[in-house]
Amino acid sequence: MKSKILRVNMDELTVEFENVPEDYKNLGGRALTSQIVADEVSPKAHPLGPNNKLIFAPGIVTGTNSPNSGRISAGGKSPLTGGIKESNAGTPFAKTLAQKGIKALVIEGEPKKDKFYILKLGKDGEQFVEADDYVGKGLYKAYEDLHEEFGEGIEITGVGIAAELRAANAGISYTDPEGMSSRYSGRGGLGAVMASKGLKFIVVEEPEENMIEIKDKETFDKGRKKLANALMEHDVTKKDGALNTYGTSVLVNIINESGGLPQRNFSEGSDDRSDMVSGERKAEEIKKRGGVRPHKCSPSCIIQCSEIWTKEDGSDPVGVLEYESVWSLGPNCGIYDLDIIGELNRACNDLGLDTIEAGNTIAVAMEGGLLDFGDGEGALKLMDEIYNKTPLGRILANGAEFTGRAFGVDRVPTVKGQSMPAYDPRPIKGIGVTYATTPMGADHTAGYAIAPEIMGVGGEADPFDTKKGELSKNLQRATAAIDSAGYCLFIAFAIMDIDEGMEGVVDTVNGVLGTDYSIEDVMDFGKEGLKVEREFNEKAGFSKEDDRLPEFMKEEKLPPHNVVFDVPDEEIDSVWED
Amino acid sequence: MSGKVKVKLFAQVAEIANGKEFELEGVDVREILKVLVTEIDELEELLFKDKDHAELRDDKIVLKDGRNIDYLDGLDTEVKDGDKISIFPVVGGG
Repeated sequence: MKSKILRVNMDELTVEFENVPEDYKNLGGRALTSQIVADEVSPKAHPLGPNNKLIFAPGIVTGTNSPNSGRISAGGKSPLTGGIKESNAGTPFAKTLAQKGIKALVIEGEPKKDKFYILKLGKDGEQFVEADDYVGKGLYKAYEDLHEEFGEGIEITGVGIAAELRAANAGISYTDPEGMSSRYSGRGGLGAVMASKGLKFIVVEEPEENMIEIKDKETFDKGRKKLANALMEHDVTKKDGALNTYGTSVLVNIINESGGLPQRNFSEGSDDRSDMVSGERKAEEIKKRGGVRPHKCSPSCIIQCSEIWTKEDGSDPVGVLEYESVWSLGPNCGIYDLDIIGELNRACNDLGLDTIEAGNTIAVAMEGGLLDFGDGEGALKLMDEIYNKTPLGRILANGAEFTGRAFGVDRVPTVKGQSMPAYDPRPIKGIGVTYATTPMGADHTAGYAIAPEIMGVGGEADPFDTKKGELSKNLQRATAAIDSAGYCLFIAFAIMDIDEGMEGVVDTVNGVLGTDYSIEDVMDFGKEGLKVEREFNEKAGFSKEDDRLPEFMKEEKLPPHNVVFDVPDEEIDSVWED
Repeated sequence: MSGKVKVKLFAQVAEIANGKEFELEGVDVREILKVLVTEIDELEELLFKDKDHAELRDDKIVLKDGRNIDYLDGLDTEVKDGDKISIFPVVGGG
């Protein structure tokens, strides 16, 4: 195997290439980051202390020409949840790192002096550069300056002002195809872990030689074509399908109409004004403004759900406004104005904040009386508090649960300290089981029950039915495998319905690794990965009592369906049975 | 007994109809949709598998008051005054 593990020692500012241990050879992405964390990080380590580590790993197929394979996982012990964390993103950085022959980057230690560094992984070797000039700078400008300093043909990952505060909602940003800081491993505060290591940016130069080895090219090519066919055929992922035409926020209307789009800090499940921030409205505006839609977040993508949102006159591109971001910074705060949401999203990308957590934090601050629901200008001013590193800004940058405590709020939508995405679990119960049980804290991507519950994709399940343990379990296992393969999770829409697509995934993985995995093995692979994560959390002090939704969701009926979250605890716990 | 219901269309279904909202009368969802396709011809093929209006196409989602009709009585789901029908193409995201 040509690929290596690159160990970065921030105590000594040294790097070392290591051969990939036998046990790690068939791992990638999430399975690899979680395994390294489990093997090398004490579950009791302080997330911001010298004993935590930050791991980056491209997926198994990342960097190849298989469709939608441009994912990278970041992993470590989370400052937000106190448990294991993996957060993945689609970005050209993933491909470049993989083609450079880096199977994983392990960042460890912390510099003796309180300083920030840039790690350059160049054609001519690796070097550390002082990052003093970048401290306190927004990430949009920082990425521009980095391109100027290091030249073209580079991809970047880095952390912003929120991470400088070592705040639990600091994400890790990556370049998009335009070189902007709009792609994120947002969730769980891994940006603060990176900053705690004294690492501000990693700059990777495109390698002269592509180091990716494909052991069985014939099987790989066969699989790649099968997967591409499935993606081009399925109604959700095909060209001119819903994702391609309207982007991820095509979901705003259907989730709102289903009564599950949380409004004003999860106090109602729908509001007619949500249509003003829907994917349909946004696509129309982007066209008018001369933004870009559709757009790909990474080179191999054929779904192209991304876009470039701009100001009204077409200036100041933000990048994509995802469904989750539009919801969290919009309806969840009682804000129904795409321009304000766009500016809030810009501030998140610039400060280096996870948008889901940031929106929930603002909503909780609104609930706590700091400002009124619907006060968009006020929400933007809260972002200024973080820019200015004020005590209030430091509270807000630590996320919804911390802010809820600071302002005496008892309705805080979190599990294991991480706030919920854009689906209220009371009228859509399967996603609630995923929020409750995933080792990541409330996370929709970990087992996306919305597909069968709302879209009728990958089977059908009544969202009101409380028997959802089996559904969430299977989705979580399949997802853990996809996150490790390095594929965008959106391929799931196609491969759950089209067998050829699933075969394509397995063929491409087998092609790269030279293995002989079957489709059945995929679920076992996912199951093993989840077990590693679950065990880490148990050793960190979590038990099944932590696999629960907040009290208010079991007691407070959510309009318009007026339902509570009533999945019995035994059903939730069944996710972890064989 | 028939009811007057609001019908809202979304995404590509709305684009074909050049406008999103209708108020239509019928006894059940099937009848409402049959009235709808007489108003907008192009919707007939888009919504129904056949000319008998026996089955909805698999790539469409129809909600009655926020509940997918698949989990109610399908096209036979009865409607009453003030109900809302929402029609979507199959969507994805997340």
